[in-house]
Amino acid sequence: MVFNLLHFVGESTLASLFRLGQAVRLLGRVVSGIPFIWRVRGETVTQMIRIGVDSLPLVAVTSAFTGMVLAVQTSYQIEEYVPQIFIAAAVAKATIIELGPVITALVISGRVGASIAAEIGTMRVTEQIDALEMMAIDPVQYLLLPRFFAGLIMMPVIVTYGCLIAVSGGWAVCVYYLGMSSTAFLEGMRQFVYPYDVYSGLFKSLVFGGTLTMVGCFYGYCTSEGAAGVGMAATRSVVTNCLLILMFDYFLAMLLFPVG
Amino acid sequence: MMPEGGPIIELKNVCKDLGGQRVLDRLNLSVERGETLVIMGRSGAGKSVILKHMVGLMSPDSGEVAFDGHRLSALDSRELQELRKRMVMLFQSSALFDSMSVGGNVSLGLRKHTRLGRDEIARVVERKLSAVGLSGTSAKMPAELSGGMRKRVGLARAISMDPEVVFYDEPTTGLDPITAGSINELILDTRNSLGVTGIVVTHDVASALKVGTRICLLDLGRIVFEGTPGQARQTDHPLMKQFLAGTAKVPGAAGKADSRL
Repeated sequence: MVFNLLHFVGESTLASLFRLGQAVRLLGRVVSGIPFIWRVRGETVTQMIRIGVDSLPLVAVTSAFTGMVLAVQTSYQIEEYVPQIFIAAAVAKATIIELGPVITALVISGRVGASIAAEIGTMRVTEQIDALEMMAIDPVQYLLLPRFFAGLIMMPVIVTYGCLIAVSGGWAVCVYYLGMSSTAFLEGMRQFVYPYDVYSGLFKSLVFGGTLTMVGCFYGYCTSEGAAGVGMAATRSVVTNCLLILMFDYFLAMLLFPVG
Repeated sequence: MMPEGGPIIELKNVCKDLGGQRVLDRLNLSVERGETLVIMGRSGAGKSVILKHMVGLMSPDSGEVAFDGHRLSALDSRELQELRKRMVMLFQSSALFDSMSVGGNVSLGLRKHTRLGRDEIARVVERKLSAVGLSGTSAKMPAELSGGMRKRVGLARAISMDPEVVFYDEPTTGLDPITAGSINELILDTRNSLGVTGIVVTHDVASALKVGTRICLLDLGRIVFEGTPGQARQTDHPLMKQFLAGTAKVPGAAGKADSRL
């Protein structure tokens, strides 16, 4: 019994480390191709449209509701003890440094990360990746690099767009529901939101963009066992992305916003 | 141009285990320049595994695979890519890129590895498609094609780079006899007009006898019969006879059917 348990723990640990090693090696191969990104510029632009432009409607809806609920609940929490100007500060600041990047990344990981894993996984099980290799075309540079690079570039753009909509949603609730003036809302933002907050949010989104596309690429590239394997790759991609985004969010917060 | 002399592909004592089972067992095989070697064997015998070893998509657990004198295990990825420009593969599933049109599939190698202009590439694509009887289909998507048409587009893509060696993985599997016949004709045409070396993996006996200049039979990870199509027809080798007759037991022999079937 104890031996079986130890065996299970040991085997699982080794398998996880092996997978981590594979992922890091693959990441290294992808990153080493960035100086030569111009060779796959057509595919990169296509992916930027798929990952970025096509995600805008979904991000608009999720961001608008995030901003609005943030305004309502902040108002509820602080009640009348704190001046209303702080609601604007809380909405804008929380959106820019935390909720904008994280919620957008979680939404995009469900939409884009899973789709990348399924698409590349299907190419793997239908021998299209082998066919690329046989044509002396490196599938890592041809398939993975454009998706990774597009994620890096487009995530900060999507997050900026999402934050603008979320803050606008928060403003709408403050003005039309809580009775605050637009001037007070803008004054709250001006006093408490710093350029550093914006840079930090953008840096987070850059990391999340690289993470969610790379995780999708990794699970897709390592797919085996036919259609079931493709489904599993998509599921694993979403689950891993959710975990990694929240974990990285914590470590980035410790790094970017040290206390004391 | 190919350097003269010696086999183009050589497998020496190749062993490979997959899923805890020995698939290739100290396999020795060489492919001579200009011949069309057919590797036959039952489903799951390891035919496609041999092919993937020959092109470097799989590495042996032990033993050596050499292409034109270059040991594949000693090459880095860039050198292997250079070598792969001399060989192409027609996949069992055709492996067409779903996101590209037929023309995009056939022209991909030319776009990536040559400096030909757009018009010149379009001309080459049309020529290759016309060689496989699919003239005018350049704008179609792979999803719009039948199985036989997909195989032919796969062949057009394969020969678009004027290769020295073409690997065919089950080229006629799943096709009706007439379409399979046309694929066989294309394989013969490819050899006759381009002078390429061909390696065909199949369990289609009619196709093997038609396109092969030499036939090998694989069983339990080893080559158990080797000879010309004529020798294959006349051999007393029990498994080869079974293959040709398509029976569960050796023709004319008393006894039970092969328990592995």
